[in-house]
Amino acid sequence: MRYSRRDFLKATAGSGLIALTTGSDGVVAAFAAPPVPIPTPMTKETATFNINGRNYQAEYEARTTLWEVIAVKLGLTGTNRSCNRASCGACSVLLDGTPFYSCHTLAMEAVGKKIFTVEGLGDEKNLHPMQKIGYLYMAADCGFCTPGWEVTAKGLLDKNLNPSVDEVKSALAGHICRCAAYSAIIRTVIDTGKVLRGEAEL
Amino acid sequence: MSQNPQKPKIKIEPKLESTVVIRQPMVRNFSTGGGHLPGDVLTEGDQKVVTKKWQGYPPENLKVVGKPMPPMPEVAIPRFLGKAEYATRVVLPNMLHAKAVTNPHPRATIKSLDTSKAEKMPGVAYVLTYKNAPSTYPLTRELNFQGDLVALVAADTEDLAEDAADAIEVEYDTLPAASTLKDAMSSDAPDLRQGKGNLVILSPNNPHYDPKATWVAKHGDVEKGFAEADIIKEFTYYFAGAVSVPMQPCGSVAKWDGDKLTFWGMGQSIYPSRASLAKALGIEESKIRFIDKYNGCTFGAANAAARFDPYIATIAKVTGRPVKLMLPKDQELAHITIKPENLTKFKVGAKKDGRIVALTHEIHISNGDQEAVGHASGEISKNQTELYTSKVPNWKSSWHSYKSNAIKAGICRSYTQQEVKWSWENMIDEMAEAVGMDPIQFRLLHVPRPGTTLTKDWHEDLGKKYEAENGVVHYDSFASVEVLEEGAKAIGWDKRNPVPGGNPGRFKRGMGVGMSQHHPGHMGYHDGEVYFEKVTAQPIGGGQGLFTAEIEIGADGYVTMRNALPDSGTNHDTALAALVAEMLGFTTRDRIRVVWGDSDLAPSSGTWIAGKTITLQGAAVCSATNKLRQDLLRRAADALKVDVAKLQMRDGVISSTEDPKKRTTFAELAKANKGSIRQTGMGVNKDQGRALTKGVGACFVEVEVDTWTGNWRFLRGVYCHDTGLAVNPLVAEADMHGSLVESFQMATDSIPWDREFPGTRHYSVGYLSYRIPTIMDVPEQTQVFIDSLEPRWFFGTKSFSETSIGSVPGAISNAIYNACGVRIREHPITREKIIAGLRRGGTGR
Repeated sequence: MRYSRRDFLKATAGSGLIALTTGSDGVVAAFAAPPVPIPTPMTKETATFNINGRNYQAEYEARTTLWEVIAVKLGLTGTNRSCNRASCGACSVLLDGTPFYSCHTLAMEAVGKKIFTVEGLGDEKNLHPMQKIGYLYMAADCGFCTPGWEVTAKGLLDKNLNPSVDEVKSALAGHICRCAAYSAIIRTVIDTGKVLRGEAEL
Repeated sequence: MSQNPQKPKIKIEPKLESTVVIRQPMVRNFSTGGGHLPGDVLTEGDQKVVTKKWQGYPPENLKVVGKPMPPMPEVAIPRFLGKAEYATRVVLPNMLHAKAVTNPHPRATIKSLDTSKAEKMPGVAYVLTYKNAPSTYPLTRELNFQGDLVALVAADTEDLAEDAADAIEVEYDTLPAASTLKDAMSSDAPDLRQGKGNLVILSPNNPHYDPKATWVAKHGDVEKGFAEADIIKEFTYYFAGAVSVPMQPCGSVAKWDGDKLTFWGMGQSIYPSRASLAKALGIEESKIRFIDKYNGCTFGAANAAARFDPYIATIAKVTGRPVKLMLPKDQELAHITIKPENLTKFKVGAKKDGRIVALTHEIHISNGDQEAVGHASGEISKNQTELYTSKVPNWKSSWHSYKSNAIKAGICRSYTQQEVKWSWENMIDEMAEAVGMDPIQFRLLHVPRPGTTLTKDWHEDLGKKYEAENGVVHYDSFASVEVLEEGAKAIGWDKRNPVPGGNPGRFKRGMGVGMSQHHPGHMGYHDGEVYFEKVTAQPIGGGQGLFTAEIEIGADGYVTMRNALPDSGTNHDTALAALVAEMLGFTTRDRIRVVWGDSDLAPSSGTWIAGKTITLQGAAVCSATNKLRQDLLRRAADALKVDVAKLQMRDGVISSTEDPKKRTTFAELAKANKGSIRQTGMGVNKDQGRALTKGVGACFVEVEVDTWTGNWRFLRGVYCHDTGLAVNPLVAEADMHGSLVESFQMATDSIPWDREFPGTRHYSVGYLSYRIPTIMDVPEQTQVFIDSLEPRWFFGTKSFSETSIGSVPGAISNAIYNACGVRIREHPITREKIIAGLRRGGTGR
């Protein structure tokens, strides 16, 4: 049995009745229930997605993920999708300031929300302090997980400009860095806070 | 929170987190336990070839090499911007997305395959199966492991492709399978090699031939040795396998313009990858532009996913549309190479003073679906065995490689290291205890040191090696003593309680050590060297092949370095750029630019593997730079009418040592030469190049075991490396952090096998079932770099990124034993095994 987002969605649709009749936990029931196919193709919708302060029009189906809208349909390819199973954090984006795994967030859930991706952080000409410090501290080896944790760390610093090491760890616990640059990532986030607070300079 | 406006701001600068660099004297003597002999030249090999020490570039007065610096900005900064060009980020107009159908059985043949429904589904452009796969690169009906490729569907979106993949109807005839090592070794195992037996056997002409093993080497008389021994012990260890799990989904993008193919791949080479692709498609290599600048990890393992590349290119050709594949993790993990399951048996005899006088080593390996000797190939076997046997008078090592219906064994965050060293490092610790010695002292008694000679029995093929002398080779730059002694200091080994489980209380701490040796120190030859000409006179096979680099000075005075090799987070161009800067007399690296990862932009080169880039691609880079330096000096001498010997080079200016007013610049010389001056260099790695310039490493760990629950924590790691001269300690430290954490995980997590068919398929649904260390799990780390100044190479550098990697799983096991008295011989280390061992009284026996 290969589990996928599609199977999960199909199963959830079919398991509503089970959850109602047995009163058991909906998610558990979803995995237990036999998959019931939903007719395809699904209805196409068009909506406006607000990404990094700009509005973009995109067409999506009910099952289209936010990652697909951002990276494939709109070509904002900075957000890397790795596991596609909502477990590694590489594809994280902020929705109204809260980090979400965009591979398992449906596009429809993001409509009307403020979406923030790595492209909103900074660019070559105008590096965000986190990007500059991350570079100086070697907080990325291969860099595939980097846009994801940067976005989550931005979400953390927006709420708490002076996080402790434990707070940084908790905030980034949902991000896998296979090169294990973790200690440099922690120092990067802490010192970005220092720069943003005006206590340190680049 | 109040903030003092007067307080001076902290300056953010790159700094090492926790690294100790142990400087070694420039000239050492074998008798004092380290280094190379005095003198300016090295005489090597039977042909008495003289090489200038450090290739004429001694590790003195260095301005760039050896300094901690962030990586090359053009390589590293895009990673923080989401602009690093991974193949997964390529999105093209009208692009198709491919999805795979894979085999659910360990071994089967396709009985029937119906794609008609799938082909009619919305958005579907093409379905590729064994029926229409290219004749130059067929797919077969025979499926030899779970996850083997059955079909590829290309459609407008990933979802539509997956819908169609689900609609393909396949019937399988299942066949008897041997998916685990136990199955493959069993006498009633199904025959997977057409009557030849599952054990791979060499040709009888091979000096390492044995009718009952894949590869055998021996020395002295083992029976006589055991008769002389005071203490004889036997041990059996099992390693359950491990996987590497790159972050980037393996896959590629193909796009045709007429008969010209642009291909974005994922792997560790440009030109060898392009050559394989061209061969599979039956086209000329020059018709393909192969691009791979960035990979999100490869660990050597991702190279195997190139199996899909020709199919992706084929679908793109047939449909006339670009095609992209991003394998989901569960499918990907069935195709990338893994650390194999293996079973190791030792019989060891020692004298009362601790010296091992007889040893037999027997290892059985599940090699997966491949007809190859795999881990049991000579070079590899020797490397993994000789660390503790070079001084043992009587020994025998036999390696057994079995074909099985498992995922292919191969490169996986080192080749053969962690999985083979697991048994060796546990055994050495157990023997140390048996003879009543401290594990470090016991190791010091047996490891080779500079000056130690390896016998012909180890290297029967030494006669063919270029630098062997009278059939033997010496260890030279080899910091075996230093990695142990400096590591012991850094961890505080003197505070270790030598009694296993001897500390009081529920939470018991313990320390352990492991060692490893690997081939990365092997270096190649660059053009201009005698052996380079000899080696390249023969055909050069394999992915390592011939390495080329181009170094160019432009009219702006900037230096452009062209290296084809892709970057997987390795940042190797950062180290190479530092060498270029140093050789050209710069005091900073700012004038060096790098162009890489594209067959249209950089000259032909090989595959980077085994952490050997600094001496292979490095051979090409240093050779080109050396030529460029000589070229610039000659041009300056002509222009200034000054003798070359009286010129100096500093930061792009060449001036007379006697009259500084007589000066010219790189930019002026380039302008005078139609705008640029360019040199090409080559390096080669055939038969592993120079013999025995190896590396050695050690890992010290401190753990804490909760003796009530069996839970344990990895508190501290001290990771010691025989680095030669570390070119860039900042990048090296970051690399070694990952090396330690990933190897630590390999001690605690085996392959997440399918419960129904263990040994075949990962049932992983992502990273959920394979516990990859998160930010919560990593220990405090200290790196120890022993700068052992390799005399054969530029500035005393050598490769070291994989020398220590094998030491980690054994070190953790040894630390757990020291903490609580439970010896875990059956990998992986788990809470359950610790608690079971504690219940048995803490001996684990």
